[in-house]
Amino acid sequence: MRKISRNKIATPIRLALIFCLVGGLFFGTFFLRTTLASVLWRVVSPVLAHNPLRYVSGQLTSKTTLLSQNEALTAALSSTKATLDDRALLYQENIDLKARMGRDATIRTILSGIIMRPPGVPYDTLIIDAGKAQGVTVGNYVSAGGSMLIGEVDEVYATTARVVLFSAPGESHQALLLQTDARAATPLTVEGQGGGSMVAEVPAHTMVAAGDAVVFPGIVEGMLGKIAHVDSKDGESFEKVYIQLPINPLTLRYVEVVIR
Amino acid sequence: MLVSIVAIVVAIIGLLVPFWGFGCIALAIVVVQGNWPLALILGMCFDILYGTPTGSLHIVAIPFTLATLVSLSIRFFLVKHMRDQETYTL
Repeated sequence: MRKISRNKIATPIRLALIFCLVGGLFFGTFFLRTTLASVLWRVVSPVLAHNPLRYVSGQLTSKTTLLSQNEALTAALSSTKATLDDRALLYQENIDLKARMGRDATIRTILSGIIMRPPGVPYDTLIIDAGKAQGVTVGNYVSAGGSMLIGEVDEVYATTARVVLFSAPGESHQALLLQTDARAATPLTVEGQGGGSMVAEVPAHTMVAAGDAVVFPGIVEGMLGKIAHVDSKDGESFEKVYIQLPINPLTLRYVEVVIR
Repeated sequence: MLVSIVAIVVAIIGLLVPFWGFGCIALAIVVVQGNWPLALILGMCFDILYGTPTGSLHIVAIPFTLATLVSLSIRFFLVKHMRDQETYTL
């Protein structure tokens, strides 16, 4: 009787197994992505929230540097607090005025902590600890506090969500450039460059200067960023404006999800 | 087995530190070892955790899984080529 080699039998079975595994993986990654991500993040997020290695890099900083940093931050905080009080008063006044004109400009927000950010993730995204269970939906804007918008919810899982920053490379958004006197507004398309930076083009000789605000159009104007630099060249029809997010999103601990 | 455990530990450290580069190192270790099921599972896990790339790279929905597949293919052909060459020399 002819003996069939073991390898000859094993090869088709092995190939079938490989095909099933690879096919299953692709099917899972493409079609069950949200479900699988919900399950994975449900497991990973509590671990990351109580992560003992989170502040490893911070502990390596010298004591003197930390002390000087602490002094500088305390000074900055006290001056910021005064500005913030003033801003809160003006913001309330703004909402009251809009209400008197028949427009409700109040917004509802959900506070959430950031559980992962670059360089933990390879893209300009944040993973926050609020998801479907907390009422977060795809397309919700995310602010660093108040009207300082930094990104948009891109994917929602059971208890977590992924926020794509407005400064993510390749992302583009329509916005308004408010000139210093705040009466004129120039529409522009803002494109992300990564790391909190964005770029846009405005017609040459537009009255624009560093420090001007870029906002989203609408009754509740969310601030997108501030002009950091204007690059104008002689003979060109457009000038480039470089915009920075109002706050460095990579240093934040909490964000607010704006519910529409 | 030990190499696979080391790779998994490196991947977990990448999540805890956190730095995504450790994930790539873990993937590279598993690919070099030739443990393709673990490499594919790790790649898929990273894709699911980190989500799709932003901007124009959005069309590459599963970059880590694809990179793993490409690396595994390169490894497969390299190993085959080297084996063939060895036989020829002998």
